[in-house]
Amino acid sequence: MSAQGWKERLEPVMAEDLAAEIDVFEKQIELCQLGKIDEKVFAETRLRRGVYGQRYDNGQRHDGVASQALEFPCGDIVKGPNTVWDAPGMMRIKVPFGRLSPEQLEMMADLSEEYADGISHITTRQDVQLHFVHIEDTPTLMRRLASVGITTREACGNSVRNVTACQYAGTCQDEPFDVTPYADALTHFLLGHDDVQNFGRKFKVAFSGCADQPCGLTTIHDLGLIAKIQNGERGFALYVGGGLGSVPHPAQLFDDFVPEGELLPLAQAICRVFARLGVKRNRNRARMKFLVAKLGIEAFRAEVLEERAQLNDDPRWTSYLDDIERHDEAPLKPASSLVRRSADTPFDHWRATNVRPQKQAGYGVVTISCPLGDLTALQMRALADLARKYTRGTVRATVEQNLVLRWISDADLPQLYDELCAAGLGAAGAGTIVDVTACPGTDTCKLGIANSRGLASVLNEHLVSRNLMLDHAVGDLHIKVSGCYNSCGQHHIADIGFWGVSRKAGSHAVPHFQTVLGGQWTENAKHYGLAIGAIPSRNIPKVVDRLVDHYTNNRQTGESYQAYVQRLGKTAVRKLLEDLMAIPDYGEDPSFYSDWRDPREFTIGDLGVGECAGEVVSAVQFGLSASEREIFVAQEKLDNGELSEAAHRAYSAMLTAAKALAREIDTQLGDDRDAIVASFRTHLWDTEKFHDPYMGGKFGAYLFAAHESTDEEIDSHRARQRIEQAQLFVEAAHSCYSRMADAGEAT
Amino acid sequence: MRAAQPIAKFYAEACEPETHAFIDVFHRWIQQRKLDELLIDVADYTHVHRGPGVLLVGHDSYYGMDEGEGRLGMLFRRRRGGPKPVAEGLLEAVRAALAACTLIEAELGSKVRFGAGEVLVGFDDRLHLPNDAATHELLRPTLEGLAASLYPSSDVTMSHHGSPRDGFRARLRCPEPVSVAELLERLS
Repeated sequence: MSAQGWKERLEPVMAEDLAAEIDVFEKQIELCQLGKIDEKVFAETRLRRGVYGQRYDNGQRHDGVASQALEFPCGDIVKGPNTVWDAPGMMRIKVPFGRLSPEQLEMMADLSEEYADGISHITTRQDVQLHFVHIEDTPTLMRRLASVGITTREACGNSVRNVTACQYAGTCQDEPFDVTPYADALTHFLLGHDDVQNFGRKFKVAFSGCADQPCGLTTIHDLGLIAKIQNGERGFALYVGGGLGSVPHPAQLFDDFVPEGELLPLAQAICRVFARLGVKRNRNRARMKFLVAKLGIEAFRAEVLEERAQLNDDPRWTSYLDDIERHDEAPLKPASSLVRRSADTPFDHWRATNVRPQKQAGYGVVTISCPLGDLTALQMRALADLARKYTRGTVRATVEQNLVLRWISDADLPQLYDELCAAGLGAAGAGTIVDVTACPGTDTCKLGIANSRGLASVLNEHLVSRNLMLDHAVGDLHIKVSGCYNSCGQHHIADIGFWGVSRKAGSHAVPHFQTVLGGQWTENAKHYGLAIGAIPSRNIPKVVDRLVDHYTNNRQTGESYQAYVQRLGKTAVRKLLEDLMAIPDYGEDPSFYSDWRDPREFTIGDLGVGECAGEVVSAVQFGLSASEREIFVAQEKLDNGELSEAAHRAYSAMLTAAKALAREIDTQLGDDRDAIVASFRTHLWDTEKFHDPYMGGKFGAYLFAAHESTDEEIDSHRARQRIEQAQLFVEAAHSCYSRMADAGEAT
Repeated sequence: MRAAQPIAKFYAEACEPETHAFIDVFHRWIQQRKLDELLIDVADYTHVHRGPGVLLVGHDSYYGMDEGEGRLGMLFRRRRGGPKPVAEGLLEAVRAALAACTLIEAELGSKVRFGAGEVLVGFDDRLHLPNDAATHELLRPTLEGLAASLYPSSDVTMSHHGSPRDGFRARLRCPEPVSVAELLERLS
């Protein structure tokens, strides 16, 4: 009742394509419940809609004494391998370059209350996540997001993830130009593009306005773009093959200057090379960083340039350049100067750490510290109000799990500060040592080993109590925590980083954090840190104290933390911390045997199989699954007496399957029906690849017949016959795909 | 009239332990299967200003030591089951919140005491019940019925609560002192 109600109510305000996509997803949910979609295909399908798994969704949970079955009412129904249908999951909301309008903030607030746990969580890639969401609620949730212009498409899975960009873009004093229009154009160009549907793993893109600041973190991305002007022309230094994870790779320079008009085609060519040559079966070697490392940057570049030369022209490559000014932001208030109040120390502290002057004189960007990236619905609404009151709705999320308000007139800062404080959002210390970043860890992630959020929370409280944020020596240090080696907390690029591990002490497991020191946050995360050793979780606050104090007392004038760690050497640093690596006996201090903010005795028994890698489902498998869905819809239309529509859907199912297969050979194939049929005939029918061993070309001929007779009169017999033919065609397509895969002719 | 996601919150009149302490309490509830529903996990949001505090996540419901409005209290929210008659939904939410209060008082002894003379009720269902005066008027008889069940022969004040952007909220207040146990007894 509720879902129908929202669907009808929102129909007039949803973009047609978004509405249609969500209808399709809703149908896929229905088919999965009926057991009509393979569980792996459905898992990757929902991941590509942002519907992600969450800890304990395998139906098991360790309660501190023993592992217990969670008896969900759905029984055996699953939504992916070992993923119980009824188990709540996470919804990732893709927010391109973190740009959010007040209406979008308000919508997320409502959704967090109605479908999640009341919290909107900002991630380290400028997304927003909702937790404890039920899969049946996701179509409605998506429709409500679509009503404010948001799609969750390709937020997870083996796809192009959220395109991130510096939150200061357009206001930054160091940038040659605003990267926003380019990030927006690349987002929309790659979203759902045929060439990005066949990856072995995810693909991440980041834009930065400059080379010196960290905001874009281009070094840790598959595709990193840094704004540059050469001979008066706009373009980008283009980097490829970066990534963190368990095996971090810094991105390599692909081209020192790519003119703006070449950005989209080159990105497309890179995606095509990744889809064609990237590893598919071994998820641990499937990121593009491994492909670049294996080929070497020269050979990779040659492959990409060759691919680029073969691309058919696409007007979208440059059409957005004609309209680039539409992304220009304007202030709501006139520029002004700050009138200082008398000795307002908390305001001064906040201003020192949370306000950054814009290149436009009289304005600043205000960073709102969001502890652990979490915001309540009321806070989201308060921010929406403030964005309207002080700006033209210019809000962005940051990769440090905060939000920024741009275009704040300087004179408004004191009043804005007061209003932020009233909403509980006036904490100082954004981007300083107290602003600890953490991935979800064992709170909600299936892969989490240790409680990264619990530790981050404790460290934040501890460092704030030491008032270190304005300390001239250590205030600018960055601390980042990941729950496991996968680096979602970006520990490699922190001055002081931690990632969760487990160690055994007698018969007990003890939560530890591997300590990584000397990563470089600046220069777009230029260097990765060194692992020093694993330390019991309970001792980590002491570790931070000791590291911070030692640096304060022993650093040389102007010496950065990276240089200090390098000078000291790994052995000396380890020695400094060695006594903290010891684990007391269980009887002496049992607190070491449980994690922060979790009283259960520690275990790694709750570890599940992560969905970060998605399921390896080829583009052909997706296409064939889509064709089966269309046959199902055709049958429904037939049952409803919609005969022409039923026949058309059946024809469309054949086209979808034909295209999926033909694109394995004819990789430039688009959506034109005549072209699909012609390509199918040339590459699959004439070559007899599609022919059934017994029936020959009969099933393929069904497509030709349907394609040539689209104007005919359809009665119920004809409609039924067309559906049956489509069913046979799709079955034949499956067989053809198997034969091609066995022969190494398909992915 | 039907709506989904009813809520009820009873406020703590006294609470010695910090909100963190309820992390342990709720984990014990899962371990000891204290509630008659599938309990999944505990979420800690004590770092968030006036947030959900500590949340016990069940398959059908949330039970939270909630810090919203700057007032600690037991907030129950039904999250599954779809729309049902509003009176039934509210009564169920109030009962579940009271039962959780009873468990906490029993477990922590005199360290925590809930006041039963004030309850915040509502629905997080903007489709059916937006938080406006019209909804409040529409639900007035239901709310009066609930007040009569909870606080018979008392001069109960009833106020509409929150902004139009919030989920529907109303507050019932009874001037006479009343305990959680008494209230549960009245609803049994």
